[in-house]
Amino acid sequence: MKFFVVGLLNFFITFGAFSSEDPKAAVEPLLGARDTFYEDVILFQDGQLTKEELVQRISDQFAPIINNRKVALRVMGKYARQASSEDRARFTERLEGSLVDAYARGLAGYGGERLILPQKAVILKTGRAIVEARLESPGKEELAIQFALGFDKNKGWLVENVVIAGINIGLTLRNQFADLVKSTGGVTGAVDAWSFAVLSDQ
Amino acid sequence: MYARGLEISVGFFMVLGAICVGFLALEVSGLTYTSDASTYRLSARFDNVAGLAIRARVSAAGVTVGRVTNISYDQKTAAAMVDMDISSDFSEFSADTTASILTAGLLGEKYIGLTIGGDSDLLSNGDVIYDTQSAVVLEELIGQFLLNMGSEK
Repeated sequence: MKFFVVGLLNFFITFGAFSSEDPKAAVEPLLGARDTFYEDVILFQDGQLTKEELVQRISDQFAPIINNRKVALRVMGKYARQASSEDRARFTERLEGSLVDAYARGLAGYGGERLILPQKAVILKTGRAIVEARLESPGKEELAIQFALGFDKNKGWLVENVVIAGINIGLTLRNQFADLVKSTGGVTGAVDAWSFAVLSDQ
Repeated sequence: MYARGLEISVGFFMVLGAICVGFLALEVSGLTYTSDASTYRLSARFDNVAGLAIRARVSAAGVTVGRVTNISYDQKTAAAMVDMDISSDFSEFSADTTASILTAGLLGEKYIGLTIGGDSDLLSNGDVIYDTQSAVVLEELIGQFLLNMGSEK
Protein backbone atom coordinates (compact mmCIF):
# COMPACT_ATOMS: atom_id res chain seq x y z
CA MET A 1 0.00 0.00 0.00
CA LYS A 2 2.84 2.35 0.97
CA PHE A 3 4.64 1.64 -2.32
CA PHE A 4 1.42 2.21 -4.23
CA VAL A 5 0.91 5.65 -2.65
CA VAL A 6 4.56 6.61 -3.24
CA GLY A 7 4.27 5.38 -6.83
CA LEU A 8 1.08 7.35 -7.34
CA LEU A 9 2.70 10.48 -5.91
CA ASN A 10 5.68 9.99 -8.21
CA PHE A 11 3.35 9.64 -11.15
CA PHE A 12 1.58 12.90 -10.37
CA ILE A 13 4.85 14.76 -9.74
CA THR A 14 6.33 13.41 -12.98
CA PHE A 15 3.12 14.07 -14.89
CA GLY A 16 2.95 17.61 -13.51
CA ALA A 17 6.53 18.36 -14.49
CA PHE A 18 5.95 16.83 -17.90
CA SER A 19 2.79 18.87 -18.52
CA SER A 20 4.51 22.13 -17.60
CA GLU A 21 7.13 21.41 -20.27
CA ASP A 22 4.89 19.80 -22.88
CA PRO A 23 4.64 22.06 -25.97
CA LYS A 24 1.54 20.24 -27.25
CA ALA A 25 -0.34 20.48 -23.94
CA ALA A 26 0.22 24.25 -23.91
CA VAL A 27 -1.69 24.73 -27.19
CA GLU A 28 -4.59 22.42 -26.30
CA PRO A 29 -6.73 24.93 -24.30
CA LEU A 30 -6.52 27.42 -27.18
CA LEU A 31 -7.29 24.76 -29.78
CA GLY A 32 -10.29 23.58 -27.75
CA ALA A 33 -11.70 27.10 -27.30
CA ARG A 34 -11.19 27.93 -30.97
CA ASP A 35 -12.83 24.74 -32.27
CA THR A 36 -15.81 25.09 -29.93
CA PHE A 37 -16.16 28.69 -31.09
CA TYR A 38 -16.32 27.58 -34.74
CA GLU A 39 -18.99 25.00 -33.85
CA ASP A 40 -21.00 27.66 -32.00
CA VAL A 41 -20.72 30.06 -34.95
CA ILE A 42 -22.19 27.40 -37.25
CA LEU A 43 -25.10 26.95 -34.80
CA PHE A 44 -25.54 30.74 -34.72
CA GLN A 45 -25.49 31.01 -38.51
CA ASP A 46 -28.06 28.17 -38.74
CA GLY A 47 -30.30 30.13 -36.40
CA GLN A 48 -30.02 27.59 -33.57
CA LEU A 49 -28.40 30.19 -31.28
CA THR A 50 -29.29 33.81 -30.64
CA LYS A 51 -26.50 36.42 -30.47
CA GLU A 52 -26.89 36.61 -26.67
CA GLU A 53 -26.56 32.83 -26.40
CA LEU A 54 -23.49 32.92 -28.63
CA VAL A 55 -21.90 35.65 -26.47
CA GLN A 56 -22.67 33.62 -23.33
CA ARG A 57 -21.19 30.43 -24.82
CA ILE A 58 -18.02 32.24 -25.88
CA SER A 59 -17.72 33.75 -22.39
CA ASP A 60 -18.11 30.30 -20.81
CA GLN A 61 -15.51 28.85 -23.16
CA PHE A 62 -12.82 31.53 -22.77
CA ALA A 63 -13.14 32.43 -19.07
CA PRO A 64 -11.53 29.20 -17.75
CA ILE A 65 -8.40 29.50 -19.94
CA ILE A 66 -7.43 32.97 -18.70
CA ASN A 67 -5.41 33.44 -15.51
CA ASN A 68 -7.54 36.31 -14.22
CA ARG A 69 -5.60 36.86 -10.99
CA LYS A 70 -2.27 37.23 -12.82
CA VAL A 71 -3.77 39.36 -15.57
CA ALA A 72 -5.36 41.66 -12.97
CA LEU A 73 -2.06 42.11 -11.11
CA ARG A 74 -0.29 42.73 -14.41
CA VAL A 75 -2.82 45.42 -15.37
CA MET A 76 -2.78 47.10 -11.96
CA GLY A 77 1.00 47.27 -12.18
CA LYS A 78 2.70 49.32 -9.47
CA TYR A 79 -0.68 50.26 -8.01
CA ALA A 80 -1.33 46.64 -7.01
CA ARG A 81 1.12 47.10 -4.11
CA GLN A 82 -0.73 50.09 -2.70
CA ALA A 83 -4.19 48.61 -3.32
CA SER A 84 -6.12 46.94 -0.51
CA SER A 85 -6.83 43.22 -0.82
CA GLU A 86 -10.54 44.11 -1.34
CA ASP A 87 -9.66 46.42 -4.25
CA ARG A 88 -7.43 43.74 -5.79
CA ALA A 89 -10.18 41.13 -5.53
CA ARG A 90 -12.79 43.54 -6.85
CA PHE A 91 -10.58 44.51 -9.78
CA THR A 92 -9.91 40.85 -10.66
CA GLU A 93 -13.66 40.30 -10.84
CA ARG A 94 -14.34 43.45 -12.85
CA LEU A 95 -11.46 42.80 -15.25
CA GLU A 96 -12.57 39.22 -15.82
CA GLY A 97 -16.08 40.40 -16.69
CA SER A 98 -14.91 43.21 -18.98
CA LEU A 99 -12.28 41.10 -20.78
CA VAL A 100 -14.57 38.16 -21.45
CA ASP A 101 -17.32 40.55 -22.50
CA ALA A 102 -14.93 42.31 -24.90
CA TYR A 103 -13.67 38.99 -26.38
CA ALA A 104 -17.19 37.63 -26.71
CA ARG A 105 -18.61 40.74 -28.38
CA GLY A 106 -15.59 40.90 -30.70
CA LEU A 107 -15.94 37.26 -31.67
CA ALA A 108 -19.71 37.54 -32.04
CA GLY A 109 -19.06 39.97 -34.88
CA TYR A 110 -17.31 37.11 -36.67
CA GLY A 111 -16.66 37.83 -40.35
CA GLY A 112 -15.01 34.63 -41.57
CA GLU A 113 -11.67 35.13 -39.80
CA ARG A 114 -9.58 32.04 -39.11
CA LEU A 115 -7.24 31.71 -36.16
CA ILE A 116 -4.31 29.58 -37.26
CA LEU A 117 -2.68 27.90 -34.26
CA PRO A 118 0.53 25.85 -34.34
CA GLN A 119 0.58 22.25 -33.16
CA LYS A 120 3.20 23.08 -30.53
CA ALA A 121 3.97 26.04 -28.29
CA VAL A 122 7.48 27.35 -27.71
CA ILE A 123 8.48 26.45 -24.16
CA LEU A 124 10.58 29.36 -22.88
CA LYS A 125 11.25 27.68 -19.54
CA THR A 126 9.39 25.26 -17.27
CA GLY A 127 5.86 26.58 -16.82
CA ARG A 128 6.18 29.42 -19.33
CA ALA A 129 5.37 29.25 -23.04
CA ILE A 130 4.32 31.30 -26.03
CA VAL A 131 1.99 30.33 -28.84
CA GLU A 132 2.64 32.10 -32.13
CA ALA A 133 -0.73 32.27 -33.91
CA ARG A 134 -2.03 34.27 -36.84
CA LEU A 135 -5.42 35.58 -37.76
CA GLU A 136 -6.45 35.36 -41.38
CA SER A 137 -9.23 37.75 -42.40
CA PRO A 138 -10.84 37.75 -45.83
CA GLY A 139 -9.39 40.62 -47.90
CA LYS A 140 -7.17 41.89 -45.09
CA GLU A 141 -3.56 41.54 -44.05
CA GLU A 142 -2.69 38.58 -41.82
CA LEU A 143 -2.38 39.54 -38.16
CA ALA A 144 0.27 38.02 -35.87
CA ILE A 145 -1.05 37.09 -32.43
CA GLN A 146 1.20 35.86 -29.64
CA PHE A 147 -0.34 34.23 -26.56
CA ALA A 148 1.81 34.23 -23.42
CA LEU A 149 0.94 31.23 -21.26
CA GLY A 150 1.81 30.25 -17.73
CA PHE A 151 1.37 26.83 -16.14
CA ASP A 152 -0.85 26.61 -13.07
CA LYS A 153 -0.45 23.33 -11.19
CA ASN A 154 -4.20 23.12 -10.54
CA LYS A 155 -5.61 24.48 -13.79
CA GLY A 156 -2.91 23.66 -16.38
CA TRP A 157 -1.85 26.12 -19.07
CA LEU A 158 -3.56 29.53 -18.83
CA VAL A 159 -3.32 32.68 -20.94
CA GLU A 160 -1.55 35.53 -19.10
CA ASN A 161 -1.04 38.06 -21.89
CA VAL A 162 -1.62 38.64 -25.59
CA VAL A 163 0.52 40.54 -28.09
CA ILE A 164 -1.39 41.54 -31.24
CA ALA A 165 0.64 42.79 -34.22
CA GLY A 166 3.49 43.69 -31.86
CA ILE A 167 1.26 45.59 -29.43
CA ASN A 168 1.50 44.23 -25.89
CA ILE A 169 -2.13 44.29 -24.72
CA GLY A 170 -1.19 43.75 -21.04
CA LEU A 171 1.07 46.80 -21.13
CA THR A 172 -1.56 48.86 -22.97
CA LEU A 173 -4.16 48.02 -20.32
CA ARG A 174 -1.62 48.77 -17.55
CA ASN A 175 -1.14 52.27 -19.02
CA GLN A 176 -4.93 52.61 -19.24
CA PHE A 177 -5.29 51.67 -15.56
CA ALA A 178 -2.55 54.14 -14.56
CA ASP A 179 -4.40 56.90 -16.46
CA LEU A 180 -7.60 55.97 -14.62
CA VAL A 181 -5.81 56.16 -11.25
CA LYS A 182 -4.64 59.68 -12.13
CA SER A 183 -8.02 60.83 -13.43
CA THR A 184 -10.06 59.34 -10.58
CA GLY A 185 -7.57 60.24 -7.85
CA GLY A 186 -6.88 56.74 -6.52
CA VAL A 187 -6.88 52.99 -6.96
CA THR A 188 -10.41 52.53 -5.59
CA GLY A 189 -11.73 55.10 -8.05
CA ALA A 190 -9.92 53.41 -10.93
CA VAL A 191 -11.37 50.01 -9.97
CA ASP A 192 -14.86 51.55 -9.84
CA ALA A 193 -14.37 53.23 -13.22
CA TRP A 194 -13.02 50.11 -14.96
CA SER A 195 -15.59 48.67 -17.32
CA PHE A 196 -16.20 47.27 -20.78
CA ALA A 197 -16.35 50.90 -22.00
CA VAL A 198 -12.70 51.40 -20.93
CA LEU A 199 -11.65 48.41 -23.02
CA SER A 200 -13.75 49.59 -25.95
CA ASP A 201 -11.71 52.81 -26.02
CA GLN A 202 -8.57 50.80 -26.80
CA MET B 1 54.17 90.36 -22.17
CA TYR B 2 50.66 91.06 -23.48
CA ALA B 3 51.12 88.55 -26.33
CA ARG B 4 52.24 85.85 -23.87
CA GLY B 5 49.14 86.43 -21.71
CA LEU B 6 46.93 86.19 -24.80
CA GLU B 7 48.57 82.92 -25.88
CA ILE B 8 48.03 81.42 -22.42
CA SER B 9 44.37 82.49 -22.45
CA VAL B 10 43.83 80.98 -25.92
CA GLY B 11 45.57 77.78 -24.81
CA PHE B 12 43.42 77.63 -21.68
CA PHE B 13 40.23 78.00 -23.71
CA MET B 14 41.43 75.34 -26.17
CA VAL B 15 41.99 72.88 -23.32
CA LEU B 16 38.63 73.79 -21.79
CA GLY B 17 36.96 73.26 -25.18
CA ALA B 18 38.60 69.85 -25.58
CA ILE B 19 37.41 68.82 -22.10
CA CYS B 20 33.86 69.95 -22.94
CA VAL B 21 33.87 68.02 -26.25
CA GLY B 22 35.19 64.92 -24.44
CA PHE B 23 32.52 65.22 -21.74
CA LEU B 24 29.79 65.68 -24.37
CA ALA B 25 31.02 62.63 -26.32
CA LEU B 26 30.98 60.49 -23.15
CA GLU B 27 27.50 61.68 -22.19
CA VAL B 28 26.03 61.12 -25.67
CA SER B 29 27.60 57.67 -26.09
CA GLY B 30 26.69 56.56 -22.58
CA LEU B 31 30.31 55.83 -21.73
CA THR B 32 30.13 57.93 -18.59
CA TYR B 33 32.31 57.16 -15.65
CA THR B 34 30.57 55.09 -13.06
CA SER B 35 31.85 53.71 -9.84
CA ASP B 36 32.13 49.94 -9.44
CA ALA B 37 28.76 49.73 -7.69
CA SER B 38 27.37 46.20 -7.48
CA THR B 39 24.94 45.09 -10.15
CA TYR B 40 22.83 42.06 -10.95
CA ARG B 41 22.00 40.55 -14.30
CA LEU B 42 18.57 40.49 -15.96
CA SER B 43 17.78 39.41 -19.50
CA ALA B 44 14.81 40.20 -21.72
CA ARG B 45 13.49 38.44 -24.78
CA PHE B 46 12.37 40.69 -27.65
CA ASP B 47 10.96 39.82 -31.07
CA ASN B 48 12.79 42.81 -32.48
CA VAL B 49 15.46 45.10 -30.99
CA ALA B 50 15.97 47.27 -34.10
CA GLY B 51 18.43 50.02 -33.25
CA LEU B 52 19.12 49.07 -29.62
CA ALA B 53 22.84 49.21 -28.87
CA ILE B 54 25.09 47.74 -26.23
CA ARG B 55 25.52 50.23 -23.33
CA ALA B 56 22.06 51.66 -24.02
CA ARG B 57 20.47 52.78 -20.80
CA VAL B 58 17.81 50.86 -18.89
CA SER B 59 15.33 53.05 -17.10
CA ALA B 60 12.37 52.75 -14.77
CA ALA B 61 10.02 55.73 -14.43
CA GLY B 62 12.65 57.79 -16.31
CA VAL B 63 15.43 56.98 -13.82
CA THR B 64 18.49 55.17 -15.20
CA VAL B 65 18.78 51.89 -13.32
CA GLY B 66 21.18 49.97 -15.53
CA ARG B 67 22.83 49.38 -18.90
CA VAL B 68 22.52 46.90 -21.76
CA THR B 69 25.59 44.66 -21.70
CA ASN B 70 24.95 42.17 -24.48
CA ILE B 71 22.54 41.50 -27.37
CA SER B 72 22.39 38.02 -28.88
CA TYR B 73 20.12 35.93 -31.10
CA ASP B 74 18.26 33.01 -29.53
CA GLN B 75 17.93 30.35 -32.23
CA LYS B 76 15.41 28.31 -30.22
CA THR B 77 12.78 31.07 -30.11
CA ALA B 78 14.06 33.13 -33.09
CA ALA B 79 14.17 36.20 -30.86
CA ALA B 80 16.74 38.64 -29.50
CA MET B 81 18.04 38.20 -25.97
CA VAL B 82 19.18 41.39 -24.29
CA ASP B 83 21.34 41.17 -21.17
CA MET B 84 21.21 44.07 -18.74
CA ASP B 85 23.27 44.96 -15.69
CA ILE B 86 20.95 46.53 -13.13
CA SER B 87 22.26 48.46 -10.16
CA SER B 88 21.70 46.60 -6.90
CA ASP B 89 20.11 49.78 -5.54
CA PHE B 90 17.08 48.89 -7.68
CA SER B 91 16.04 45.38 -6.74
CA GLU B 92 12.27 45.69 -6.37
CA PHE B 93 11.22 44.69 -9.88
CA SER B 94 8.23 42.34 -9.82
CA ALA B 95 8.27 39.03 -11.72
CA ASP B 96 5.71 40.44 -14.20
CA THR B 97 7.75 43.53 -15.03
CA THR B 98 7.45 44.57 -18.68
CA ALA B 99 10.49 45.63 -20.70
CA SER B 100 9.84 47.96 -23.64
CA ILE B 101 12.21 49.33 -26.27
CA LEU B 102 11.61 53.07 -26.34
CA THR B 103 13.06 56.01 -28.25
CA ALA B 104 14.33 59.17 -26.56
CA GLY B 105 12.57 61.90 -28.51
CA LEU B 106 11.55 61.57 -32.14
CA LEU B 107 14.94 60.55 -33.50
CA GLY B 108 16.84 59.87 -30.28
CA GLU B 109 18.67 56.74 -29.19
CA LYS B 110 16.85 53.54 -28.24
CA TYR B 111 16.71 52.53 -24.61
CA ILE B 112 14.87 50.01 -22.45
CA GLY B 113 12.04 51.08 -20.18
CA LEU B 114 10.99 48.80 -17.32
CA THR B 115 7.40 49.01 -16.02
CA ILE B 116 6.70 47.03 -12.89
CA GLY B 117 3.67 44.80 -12.51
CA GLY B 118 1.78 43.71 -9.42
CA ASP B 119 3.27 40.28 -8.75
CA SER B 120 4.65 39.87 -5.23
CA ASP B 121 7.54 37.72 -6.51
CA LEU B 122 10.60 39.76 -7.46
CA LEU B 123 13.11 39.35 -10.28
CA SER B 124 16.55 38.28 -9.17
CA ASN B 125 20.00 37.77 -10.68
CA GLY B 126 19.82 35.71 -13.90
CA ASP B 127 16.05 35.99 -14.41
CA VAL B 128 14.57 36.55 -17.86
CA ILE B 129 11.77 39.03 -18.66
CA TYR B 130 9.47 37.47 -21.26
CA ASP B 131 6.78 40.15 -21.11
CA THR B 132 8.19 42.69 -23.55
CA GLN B 133 7.21 45.33 -26.06
CA SER B 134 9.51 45.21 -29.08
CA ALA B 135 10.86 48.11 -31.09
CA VAL B 136 8.57 49.76 -33.62
CA VAL B 137 9.89 49.21 -37.13
CA LEU B 138 8.97 52.10 -39.41
CA GLU B 139 8.96 49.98 -42.59
CA GLU B 140 6.46 47.53 -41.06
CA LEU B 141 4.20 50.39 -39.99
CA ILE B 142 4.26 51.89 -43.49
CA GLY B 143 3.61 48.45 -45.02
CA GLN B 144 0.61 47.86 -42.73
CA PHE B 145 -0.72 51.33 -43.44
CA LEU B 146 -0.47 50.83 -47.22
CA LEU B 147 -2.07 47.37 -47.07
CA ASN B 148 -4.93 48.65 -44.91
CA MET B 149 -5.47 51.53 -47.33
CA GLY B 150 -5.54 49.04 -50.20
CA SER B 151 -8.07 46.76 -48.48
CA GLU B 152 -10.40 49.69 -47.68
CA LYS B 153 -10.65 50.70 -51.34
